[in-house]
Amino acid sequence: MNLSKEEVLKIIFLARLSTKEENLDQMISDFNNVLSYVDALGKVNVDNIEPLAHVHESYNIYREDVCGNGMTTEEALLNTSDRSGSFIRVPLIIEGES
Amino acid sequence: MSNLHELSLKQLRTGLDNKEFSSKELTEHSLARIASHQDLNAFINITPEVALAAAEAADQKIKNKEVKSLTGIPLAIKDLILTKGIKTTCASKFLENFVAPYNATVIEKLLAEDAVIVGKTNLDEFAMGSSNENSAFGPVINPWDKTKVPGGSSGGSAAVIAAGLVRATLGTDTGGSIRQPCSFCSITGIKPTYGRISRYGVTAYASSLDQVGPMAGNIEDLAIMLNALCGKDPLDATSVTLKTPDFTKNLGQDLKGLRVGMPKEYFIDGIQAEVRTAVENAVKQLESLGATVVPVSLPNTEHAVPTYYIIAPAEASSNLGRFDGIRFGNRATGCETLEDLYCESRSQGFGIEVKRRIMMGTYVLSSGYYDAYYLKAQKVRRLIKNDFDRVFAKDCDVIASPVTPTTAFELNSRVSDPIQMYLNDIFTIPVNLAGLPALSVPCGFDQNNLPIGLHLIGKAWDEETLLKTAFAYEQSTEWSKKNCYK
Amino acid sequence: MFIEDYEIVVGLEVHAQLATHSKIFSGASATFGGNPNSHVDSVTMGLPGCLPVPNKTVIESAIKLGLALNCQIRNYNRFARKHYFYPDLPKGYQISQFEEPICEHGHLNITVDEVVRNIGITRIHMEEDAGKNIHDSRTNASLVDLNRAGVPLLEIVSEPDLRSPEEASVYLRGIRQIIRFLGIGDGNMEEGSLRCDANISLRPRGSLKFGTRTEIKNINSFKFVEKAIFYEATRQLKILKEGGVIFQETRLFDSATETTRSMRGKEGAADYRYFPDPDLPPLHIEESWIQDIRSKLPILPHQKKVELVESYGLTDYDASLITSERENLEFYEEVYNACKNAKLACNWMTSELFGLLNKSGKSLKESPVSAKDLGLLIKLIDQDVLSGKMAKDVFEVMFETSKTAALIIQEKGLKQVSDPKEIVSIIQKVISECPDQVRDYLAGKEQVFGFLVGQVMKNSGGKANPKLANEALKSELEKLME
Repeated sequence: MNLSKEEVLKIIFLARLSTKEENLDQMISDFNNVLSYVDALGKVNVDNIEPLAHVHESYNIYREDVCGNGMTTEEALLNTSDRSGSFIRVPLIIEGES
Repeated sequence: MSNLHELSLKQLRTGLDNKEFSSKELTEHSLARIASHQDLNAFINITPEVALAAAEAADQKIKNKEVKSLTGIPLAIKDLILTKGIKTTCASKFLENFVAPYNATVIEKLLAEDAVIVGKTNLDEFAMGSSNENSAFGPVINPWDKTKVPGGSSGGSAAVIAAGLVRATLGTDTGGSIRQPCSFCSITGIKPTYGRISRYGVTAYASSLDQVGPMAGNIEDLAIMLNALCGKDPLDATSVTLKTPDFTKNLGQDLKGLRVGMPKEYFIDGIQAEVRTAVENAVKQLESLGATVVPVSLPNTEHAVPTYYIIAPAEASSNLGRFDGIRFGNRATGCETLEDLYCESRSQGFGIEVKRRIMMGTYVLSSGYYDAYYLKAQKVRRLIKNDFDRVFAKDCDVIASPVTPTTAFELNSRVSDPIQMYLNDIFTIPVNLAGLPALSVPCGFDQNNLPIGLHLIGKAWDEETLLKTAFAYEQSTEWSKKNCYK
Repeated sequence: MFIEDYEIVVGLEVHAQLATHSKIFSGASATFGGNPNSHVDSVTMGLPGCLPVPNKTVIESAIKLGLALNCQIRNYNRFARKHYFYPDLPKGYQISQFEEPICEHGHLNITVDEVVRNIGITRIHMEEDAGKNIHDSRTNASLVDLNRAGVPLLEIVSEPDLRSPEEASVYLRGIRQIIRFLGIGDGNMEEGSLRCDANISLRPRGSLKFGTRTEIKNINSFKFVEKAIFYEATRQLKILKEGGVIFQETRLFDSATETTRSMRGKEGAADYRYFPDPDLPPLHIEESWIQDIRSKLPILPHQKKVELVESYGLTDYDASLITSERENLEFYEEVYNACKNAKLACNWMTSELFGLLNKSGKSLKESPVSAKDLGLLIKLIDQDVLSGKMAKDVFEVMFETSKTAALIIQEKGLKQVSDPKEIVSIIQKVISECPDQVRDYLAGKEQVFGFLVGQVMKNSGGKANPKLANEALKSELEKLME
C-alpha cells in the first residue's frame, strides 16, 4: 500500500515532525517502501492467535504507596532551557490547542 | 606494563589485587589508548576526571582489601544509558547537551562493584540502526578494517573492546544491537532474557524488546559482568524477581547431553558462504565436545523482520514523544506557537532513520490501521514465540545459527536502502520478539579477515547453558584469542 | 426534565483524584500544591529512561469505588498509553486504561423529588493526572508546573441516564459522597480534586434515539454543574427550534459569563493511538483480593441512612443530613456514643450546633465544641441534670469557650435541682405566696397550673427539674384538695 503525500503529511504532523523538511519527498518515498515491506504480514494467518504484548507472563507488579526517589526542582530542571523561576516556559498556549 | 589491555577481567582482578599494577595505572593506560584511537570515533564522551577519581578511590579500597568484582576496572557505557552528572546523548543531536540527572540502575550496580567508567560509547541514534552510521556524531569505524562498519547499534561498545581500549562495556539489544556488532568485531556479547536486567535509566527505544547486556573479550568476562548486572529492580516493573545465579559457576562443564538445534530457516540461500561454513564448523565443534545436533524448524522466522518493523517503531514513536523540546533537549528558537516549537525542535533534533521509525510507528498505531498493522504484528509475534517454545520444549537446549547473514559491510554501502539494512538483523530479531537470551561468540573469519560470530539462543532464564556452551566452544578454538590491537 | 418539547439527556465523566501519598506510577509526592515543579522525580518529568511502577493503593481504591458503585471488577487489567502532545503531559502520552477498565457495569441510585432513579456507571478506570499550564498573555507565554502530573485519578463514566441538570448535580454529589465515605479522595471541586465533564444532548419528547451531543469541559464547582448543563441545553434548544444542527464538539464552560463556548479544535478529531503500555505488566485481580477489600469496606451512606431511620428512629430528612458527609456521620456517631440518645443527638447536632456554626461561618471540622463534649451535654439533659433551657445556655458558653458542660455548670452553679425535698419546699413557698391562684385551681381552673409551675421555676432560679417540679406541684395541690 502506498500513501499519498497528503496522507504522509498528516502522519508527519501527528508525530510532530516538520512538514517543511528539505528531503521531504525522499522521506515519503522511504516511508512508502518500508510500508510496502511490512505489508507482507498481511498474508500471515493468525486466526485464533492472541496478540502478544508482554513477552513473559508476569502479573501484579506494584509498589506500596510510599514516597521516595524524588528529585529537587533544580535536578528536575537541570536541562530546561526556558524557565521562569521554577516554572517551565512555553509559547502561549491557545486554548484547545493540542 | 604495556600489555594491560590484553588482560582479561579475571587477569585484571588478580593483577590489581596483587598490586602488580594500580587501578590508576590501568585507567591511565586505557585513557591513553582511547586517545590514540580517536580515529575509530567510538566514544561520544570521554570522562578522564571521573575515571581517575574512581580509580584512586578503587586503589584505596584495594589497599584496604575491600575488593568487589569490578573494583578499579575501566569500563565504557553505551551512550543510551543515563549516567548522573555526565552527558548522555543517545547519539542524537536532540540530546547533544543533555546531562543526566540520575543514574540508570545498571550504572548504580556497576558503581556498587567499584567499576571505573571511562566514557560513553557511540551508537546509532536512539539505538536505531545496524551499522552505527546513524549517529549524529559520525559513524564508528570497525577496528578490523577501517573501511567497514562495526555493526550497530552498540557499535562503539564493540569497537572499543576489539581495539583493546577497555575490556568490557555495556550495550543494549532491541533487535540484535549487542550481538551483531560483537559478530562484526570478533568479541562476545549477550542479550539476556527480557526482564533479567533493569531497563530503568536506559533510554527506551522499543520497551517490550529492549534489554541491556554486557560485551567483553571472552565468555568468562561476560559472565563476570552479567553477575554484576542482573536482578530485580523495584523501579522497573518488567524486571523479574528471580535469583541471579553465579554465571561463572558452570563454565568449564562439558557438553555431554546438550542438544543443539539447527533451524533450517537460519541456514538459507543468501547467507555469505564463509559465514555459513564457519557456523556449520562451529556446530560440528560443539558436536565433538559432546553435544548432539538436531535439525529443528522455526517456520515463522521469515515474518520476524516485518513484525519487528511494526512493533519497534510503534513503541519508539510513543517512547520518543517525550523529546518535545520543553523540559530538556533541543528547543528550537524563534517559534511563536507551541505546534511550531514541537515540530521544529523534533525535526532539528532527530536524524533521518529516527524520523522514519517515528513516522512508521505513528502510522501503525493510528486510528483505522491499528488492527491491520500493530495488532496483527502482535499476533505474529506470538507465532514466532510459539516456534521457539515448541522446539525448546521437545527438541533442543540451545539453538545455533549465524548472528548475521554477512560479515561487516562497507561504510556507506547500505545507508540509502533501509530495507537492505533491516535484513541484516534477520537472525537476531526473532530472539527479541520471543524475549529469549542469546549471545554471540567469535567463530571464524572470512577471506578478507573480517570476523564471523556464532549465535547461540537459549531458553528463557537459561543464560547458564548458553554461557557454558559458548565457553566450551571458545576454549576449544583459537578465534577469541585473535585480536587486532595496535 | 423537558424544556418545551425536548428532553435533556446528560452523561457525566467525573475525574476524582485519589488522596494517596505518592503518585500513581512513582514515589514523588502526590500532595496538592507545593512550589512549582517540586513534587517531581524522573518519572514525573518524563526523563529518558524513567519507568512507571503502579501504586497498589490506587488499584485498591479503584476496586473500593467499583464495589461501592455496584460494578463488576475486571479480572484482567491493563494500562494503555494515550498519545497527544501538550506541555502539561511530560511523556507525550498519558498512562490510562482503554479497552480493559478496572470496573464496569455499575450503578448509583439517586433521589430527586422523592423519585429514585438508577443511573448506570459504564466504567471506572485508573489514569494519571496531567500537570498545570498557567497562561500569561502579558508575556505571551504559558508556564508549566508538573506537580500534579502523575497524581492518581479515577475516571467514572456514567451512562447517558441523567435527565435534568438537577439529577446531574445530585449524581455528582452522590459520587463525591461515596468517594469521601470510602476515604479514597477528598472530592474537593475547588482544588480540582473532583472534576466533571458533561455530555449533553436533547431529543424530542418521546423519542428513543439520542440527539447529537456536545461535551462541556471545565465545570469546576458544584454551583456550576446545573448552570452549565442548563445553559448548554438552552443553547441547543434554540438551535434546534430554529431548524439548525448541533455539531458534536467540545465546549468550554466559562464560569464568569456562565456560558459555554466552542474550543477551537485542530483539523480532524484527535488520534490518541492507544496501545497497551509495554512497561506495565497486566494486573490479575483475583476474587480473593476483591473479597478482602469488600470485607473491609466501610458502611456506605445509603446503608447508614437506612440504619439511622430503622434502628435509631431518625426521620428520613435527618438521616440524609447526617449521612450527607462522612464528617457529619462520624461526628454524629461520636455524639451518640457519648450520650446514647439518638434523637437528641441528632436534634442538638443539626439545629443547635449547625445553627451556631452557620452563624459564625465555621465548618464542622472547626467546631469549638467537640462531638464528645456535645454528647456529654446531651447526657446531662437525659439524666435530668440540666433542663433543655439551661442546656442551651450552657451550650452557648461551650461554643464560645470550648469548655466542657461539667466545668461550666460547676463554675456557674447551674446544676438542676432534682432533689424532691428541695423542690417540695419551693412549692410550699409558692403555695403560701399565691393563695388566690391556688384557690382558683382547687375550684377547677386548671389553666392556673401553668402559672404556678412558672412560679416554682422562678423561685428555683430556673434550676428546678421541670418534670419533677410538675409532678410534685400536682401532688402537693392534690393533698390540699383532700
